[in-house]
Amino acid sequence: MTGRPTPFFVVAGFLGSGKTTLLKNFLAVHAGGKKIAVVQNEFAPGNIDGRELLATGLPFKILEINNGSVFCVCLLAGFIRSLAALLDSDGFDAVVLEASGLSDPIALAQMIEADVLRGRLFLVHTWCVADASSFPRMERVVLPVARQVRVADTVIINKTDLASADDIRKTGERVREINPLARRIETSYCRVVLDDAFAPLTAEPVALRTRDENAQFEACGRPALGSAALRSHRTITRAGLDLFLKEAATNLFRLKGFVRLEGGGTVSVQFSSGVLEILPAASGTEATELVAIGPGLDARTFRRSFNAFTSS
Amino acid sequence: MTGRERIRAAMKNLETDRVPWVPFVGCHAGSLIGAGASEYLRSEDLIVRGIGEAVNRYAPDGVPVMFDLQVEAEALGCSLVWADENPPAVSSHPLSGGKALSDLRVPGPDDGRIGMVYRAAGRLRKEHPDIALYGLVTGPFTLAMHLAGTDLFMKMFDDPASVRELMAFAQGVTAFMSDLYFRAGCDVIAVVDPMTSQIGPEHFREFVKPHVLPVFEGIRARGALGSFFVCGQAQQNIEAMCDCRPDNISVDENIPLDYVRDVCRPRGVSFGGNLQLTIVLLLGTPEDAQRDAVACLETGGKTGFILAPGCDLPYSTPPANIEAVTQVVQDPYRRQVVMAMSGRESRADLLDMHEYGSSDKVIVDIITLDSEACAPCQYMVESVKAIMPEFEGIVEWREHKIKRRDSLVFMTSLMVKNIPTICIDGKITFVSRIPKREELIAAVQKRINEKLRFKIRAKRSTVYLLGRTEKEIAALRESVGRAIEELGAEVNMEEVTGKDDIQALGVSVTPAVVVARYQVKAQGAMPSAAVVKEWIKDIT
Repeated sequence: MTGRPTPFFVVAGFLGSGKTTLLKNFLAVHAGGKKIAVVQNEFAPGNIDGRELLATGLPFKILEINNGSVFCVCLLAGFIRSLAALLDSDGFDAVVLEASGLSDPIALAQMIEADVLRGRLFLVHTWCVADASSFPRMERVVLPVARQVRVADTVIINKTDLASADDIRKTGERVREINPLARRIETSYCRVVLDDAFAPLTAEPVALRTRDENAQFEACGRPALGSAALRSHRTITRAGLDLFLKEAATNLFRLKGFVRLEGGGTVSVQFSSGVLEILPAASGTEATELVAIGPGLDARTFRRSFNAFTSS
Repeated sequence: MTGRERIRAAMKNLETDRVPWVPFVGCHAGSLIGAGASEYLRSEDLIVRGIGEAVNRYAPDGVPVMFDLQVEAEALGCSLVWADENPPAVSSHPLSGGKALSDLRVPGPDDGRIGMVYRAAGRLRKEHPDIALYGLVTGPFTLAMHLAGTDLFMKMFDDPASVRELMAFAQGVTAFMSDLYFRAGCDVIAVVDPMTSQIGPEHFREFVKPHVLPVFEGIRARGALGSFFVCGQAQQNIEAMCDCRPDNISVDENIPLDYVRDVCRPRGVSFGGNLQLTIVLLLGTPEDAQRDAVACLETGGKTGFILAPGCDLPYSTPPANIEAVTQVVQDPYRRQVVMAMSGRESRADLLDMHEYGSSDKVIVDIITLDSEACAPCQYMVESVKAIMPEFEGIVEWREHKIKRRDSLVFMTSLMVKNIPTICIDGKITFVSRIPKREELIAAVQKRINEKLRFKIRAKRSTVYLLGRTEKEIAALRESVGRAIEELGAEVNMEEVTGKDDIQALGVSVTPAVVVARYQVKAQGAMPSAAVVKEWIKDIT
């Protein structure tokens, strides 16, 4: 239970969008120098028992959760225990979760608040892989596709080699509409730069990140970094949001997400490198969803603080 | 009212004596009897035993026979992967693995675990005649997904006719299972279709409604009650779900309960939910569970509402959290206490109680809801009042009614969690229990003795020797020093020679002697003004 918390990454995206390819690329970059654990909770033909990843021959540990598609919060209990057992078994430099195409990344991120996992993991980054060739249609049929885009830090618009120019354009526009805060990368075979996965996260390009923030991240563990994933149906006034952010954001490295305001309307909130931005969001949201990372951040306190400023 | 009557009335939007409560105990019941999920969900005997244990512990008005949405899929040829702490997962989809829909037929009682579930339901009916039994059947859309895999989504676009055909087949299976559960004696047939949360209302109306509406019509024709369960972010479909004409809709924490209430009520559909499964029931404390339950009860109202978790209780949900919900359902006092305590609190409001109880008098605090409105609170206050003549002038008592904001802050500051509670000098002494007279006297006397002991030990005295010259001081040192030595007293001797220091002690002519007694009241902490006031009262 002691020691510095381990960085936790989430890879989301619909089945067949290229999540496993992204994982392979991630492992190719990092598995040599770092001890990586991969958690898969999607059952895909051809990837039984993580077969596809294991075929890479790269050194990493794999954990499969229930060998099935976790789409309901009631199925997550096993996830918690398995993950805790994995962390007990060995020390890792990172845990990467490949979320099922129908899963809810916020619910998964909340699982790391369980007593047996508290203080042992912190959510660093969520990638969402979108298949540009099917996204415009898929997003209209399968609601989680858009929901996963909404909580992503980076959306990889993948398979551009297979998609029409029109589909790529539509995918980009729609992703921007759903989540203007996310970094968008158009590519095929999930070829994206992953060298900086362990560097601090900001909305700015890597080169513009401050040295101080790098240092803070490198010294992670003192105080221990924590993360919080909040989903709430409570609404908050604009003034209440300001007060909450004043209280909550002072000690954070970053905070981002979407907030439903009382009386209707949604704003995007982003706090990074000491700069807070609150902007009207073009696309509404069903619930307030915020993800925060900071030294000593406790998810329960964060949630309680949010609730204290809400109106219902 | 029996639980069964309560559920029936609530589902028909009739008055009930209290809100009915249905913990969805699936594989969690296995944990109550030490059986793993894979063992539990495959054994008629374990299910009967597990549900029996859940009934004993959680005093529900209704329970599901089993919560496993893979029963039908398994009987239709889907492979399952079993887990110790979860229901099984479907790992192969026959229709995406070479089989055609025409190869499949509606299963019978001898297929898979269907017969086992039927027998378990029959036995539970006999053993628990007063509790509503829920037969949970897999909804057509979720079953179609099990059979066809996620290809189903794209087929809704590319080949809608094949999806309709598959849904018609799934409807037949759902209707068969509904009938089976009804024949086994279930009161409520719950059509559980969580995968519908993944689609929008247009697709719901096009592909789901035509195949669920007839199922509910069939349930109603039999005289049973029909409930439509959904979990996940399905807010967009609640209206369309009502259009399927179930008696009840049950949702999880992903949908605001007030929204469901406002959509269902005008349509005459009762509703249920939505205790938070993960953050509260699985990961939270009994206090969190009670707060959440009270919030649901407040939103749901007293008519046409059933309190329930949003979905299947996770295997390792702490039983104490579920028992805590039962307590607020059954005990109106507890509910009021939780409501009163749900007021906003922040750490800034809390009092520093570090020094509380260090005045000379012993303070007895009684934390109550309100002794005029709550019988246990009244008896507790009376028990304290009754012993006061024994301790006149030494003990003070106060009632803190937590309906008042300042009392709530006081209670939270003392870390009191239950009502009523007696604290003696800030220490929680009697919790939710009226002490016997002798017991209470003994507890107060014990504190008085402690204080006396502390006082004797803590008091210090100093004799100040005041002199302007070394000659004066030397003479004083000799006589006072000899006196202290002869008495063997623990008294400090301090010499004061500075003019200002001498005057500060109220002396203008030397040699002089000042004797002072003092007591350390606070050390390493800043006492609050309220606490200091108590000290000052002691010396004035």
